[in-house]
Amino acid sequence: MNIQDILTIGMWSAFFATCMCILNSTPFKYIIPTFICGFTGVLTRDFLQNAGLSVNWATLVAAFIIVLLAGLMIRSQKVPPIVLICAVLPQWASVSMFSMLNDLRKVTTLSGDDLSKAATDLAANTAMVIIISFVIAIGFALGLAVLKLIYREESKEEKALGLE
Amino acid sequence: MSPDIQTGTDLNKSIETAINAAQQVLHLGGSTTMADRTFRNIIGKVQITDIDIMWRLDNIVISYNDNGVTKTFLKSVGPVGTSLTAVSNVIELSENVRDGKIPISEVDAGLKSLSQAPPIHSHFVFILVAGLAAAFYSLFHHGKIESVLVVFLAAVIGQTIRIQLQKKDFRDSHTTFICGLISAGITSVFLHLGIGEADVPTLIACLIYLVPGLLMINGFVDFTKQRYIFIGLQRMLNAFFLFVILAFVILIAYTFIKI
Repeated sequence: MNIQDILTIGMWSAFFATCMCILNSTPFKYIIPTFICGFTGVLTRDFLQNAGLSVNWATLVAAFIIVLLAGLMIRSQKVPPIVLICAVLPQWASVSMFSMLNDLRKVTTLSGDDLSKAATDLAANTAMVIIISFVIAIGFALGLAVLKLIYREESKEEKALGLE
Repeated sequence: MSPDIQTGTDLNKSIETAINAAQQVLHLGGSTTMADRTFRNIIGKVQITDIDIMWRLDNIVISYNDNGVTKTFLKSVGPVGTSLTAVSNVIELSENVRDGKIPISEVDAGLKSLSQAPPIHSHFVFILVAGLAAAFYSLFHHGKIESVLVVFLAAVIGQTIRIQLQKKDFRDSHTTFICGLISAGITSVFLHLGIGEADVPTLIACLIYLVPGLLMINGFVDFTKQRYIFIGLQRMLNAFFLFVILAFVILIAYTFIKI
């Protein structure tokens, strides 16, 4: 992928993330952070993939960057989950998820070589959904751990409230 | 003890107020952490110990010790909607109580005015944004202009009907099924006629506005916090059910356009 393609896809993804954010009646103050995080997330993933990293590692780093960036912009470790999820939504394996459902339908109706192909697709799509969801969760957890370290004082307040 | 809290009746009233605020957060689509923080911000003004809270998506149950007597409050959550701006306002209100800017006695009136506030965006904005979300989803999956237009139209029509159904208090599952069927149906007809690309991303794009994202997020967030596992599971199961409905709708569309 060339740089222009990466930037274009990044831009569409960021607009999509922002639309999902507005659709959930998110406060105005979180709309721009969602756009920036969505854009940066896809950019990070695509640049890392271009540099030779696998999609899993690239997505993990992108999820980590999204959390860190959101925390730094909002200046709090209490990053609203909606910002994180809308920003990472373009990277989630949604196509694999719904293709998996289609493959499920196919394996019940096909036979012979077509069945073998559908079964292989089903396994591949299932693995994709599980692994991508897993690496996003790890990226988020790492990012939140770093934010907790950066905003230690807030963590103390949370503890005082009995929420930690 | 806060100047607001003089008698047992005052204590009960304050706890009821704090529950009302927490209930409002859950009712408006906030996470349980947010609801708990709201509750504790308000209750922080009251010197009370031995307090236990059971968070559920249908009810909040709170038990506490009042001069050696254990008392229990049960508050129904009601249907869960989505307005994160209103959630943010309720949390802000509770923080004002915590910081001593407003007395607890004014919280109920504040909650009432917040619940009567108009939605942050007009219906037109929600409809337009649903269409744009579908269009942008199609664009970043390299959709051609015909596909983008088709999914925009399907999502706009689906969201318009969704708003009408929500006004009539239709259940979420019914609304998702009807709107999903309409959006996927419109897209399938166009794809069947050769307008747009008959592929998976196009079909997902036309339904993306129906994905129960917030429910899933809150469920996951609650689930990862050990103390909210039960309500987290309730939310995740609820989201899963809506996903199954969407999957069913997509399978019908797949069969129709023979992907």
